Amino acid sequence: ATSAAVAALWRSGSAATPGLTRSGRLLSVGLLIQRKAVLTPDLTELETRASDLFTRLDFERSRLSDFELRDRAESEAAKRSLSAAAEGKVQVARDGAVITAKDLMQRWAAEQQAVTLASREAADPSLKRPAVLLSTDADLCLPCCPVVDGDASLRAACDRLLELMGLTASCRLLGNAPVGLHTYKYKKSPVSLFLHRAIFTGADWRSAEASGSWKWVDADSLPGRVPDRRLLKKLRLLAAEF
Amino acid sequence: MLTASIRHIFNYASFGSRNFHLSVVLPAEPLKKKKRVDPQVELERIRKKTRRIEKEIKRLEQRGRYLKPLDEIEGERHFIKTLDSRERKLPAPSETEVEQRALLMKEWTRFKWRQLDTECQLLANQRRELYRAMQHLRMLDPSLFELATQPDESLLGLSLSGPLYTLPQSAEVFDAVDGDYRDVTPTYRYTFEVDKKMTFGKKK
Repeated sequence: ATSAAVAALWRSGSAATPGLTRSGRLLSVGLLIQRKAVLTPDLTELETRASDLFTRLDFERSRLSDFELRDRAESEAAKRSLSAAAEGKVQVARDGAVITAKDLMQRWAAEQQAVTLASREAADPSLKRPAVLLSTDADLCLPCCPVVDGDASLRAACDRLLELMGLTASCRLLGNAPVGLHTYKYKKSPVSLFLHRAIFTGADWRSAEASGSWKWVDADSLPGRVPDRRLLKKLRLLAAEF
Repeated sequence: MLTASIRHIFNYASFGSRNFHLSVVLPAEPLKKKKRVDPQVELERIRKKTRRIEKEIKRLEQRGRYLKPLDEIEGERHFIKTLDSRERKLPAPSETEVEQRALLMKEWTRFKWRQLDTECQLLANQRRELYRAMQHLRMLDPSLFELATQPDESLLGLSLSGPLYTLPQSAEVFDAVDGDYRDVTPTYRYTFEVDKKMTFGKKK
């Protein structure tokens, strides 16, 4: 369903399908659908230097492997045979030589050069950061709907909302408990919006944006999409990545 | 009595003139008298032994192979013996290099401590927000609160992968082959064979 349909449900929820009210407050659920970073983020300058140092220290503290021992032994044997040949003692046979460790290393280097990775620079920079699915509708920010009498629990209301959005197969709700609360202090009908966390597990993250009603928004772009400052603060806290 | 007879032979025989020598048969003791064995009793004994071995095999197969405790693992002898020859002979880092490394480690430690502190604070704030939401829900509707406190069974099978270093190549560059995967991972299944002597079967 489009975000307009969800927005309509959100706006007219109390009329069409009477929402559940407790203590004069309309209960509703909102979904915080998160997408993990698709690409690994770039390392900072300090991280790069530290990574190089740890790699160097690992190398210095390590012992020679079987392959390196073989390479060392073959190099020493080659030097001995060359020096013996120079003195005229032994004739070095060039043809029919056994594959040495150096030959194998050259072969592996050639194979590695044949592999070409896709460019990271050409990829969208927003893929290196986690994102939240927000609505493109002006009246709606997060996907949310009122809890109705037919909903056995808040989780059931979230499942119904996911089904309405058509993302049941590609999203997984994490837990039965809400992770946050946002209250709309309307005088006539105050609303308690319970935020539930869901994670996008679909193969292609672009499929959620196919309908045009929803868009992945990263933490930097949130202020432009969420006008409510209190809700923005909550979203930044709940959508933060460790 | 036997040793006395051997001593007698050594005292009164000389190896040169009379060609007396000790063979392996002489010091051997006479063979034991063959006991008569009831074949039924013998079969029963073999059957019991077989049953005991098969029971032990079944018990081992059910429980699986026990892994050796880590403390008892001594490592491969081949590597331990060649440890001295496997040392890397690298030049020692200069004083400047050592100082730079120490400064970088200090900077890195400070960075990671700040990161840890930020994450702990973030975690505490998130936990506080969750607690506030649950308190509000309990105040509004205790039955919904009870349902919200139930564990989520569907979380058990959740597995996520990623992030990747680069995006997958386009089909023009690399076209993945369609078809079924055939898993050729070698697996070793140990089967214990009971010795034929222990089984009751037709004798040739």
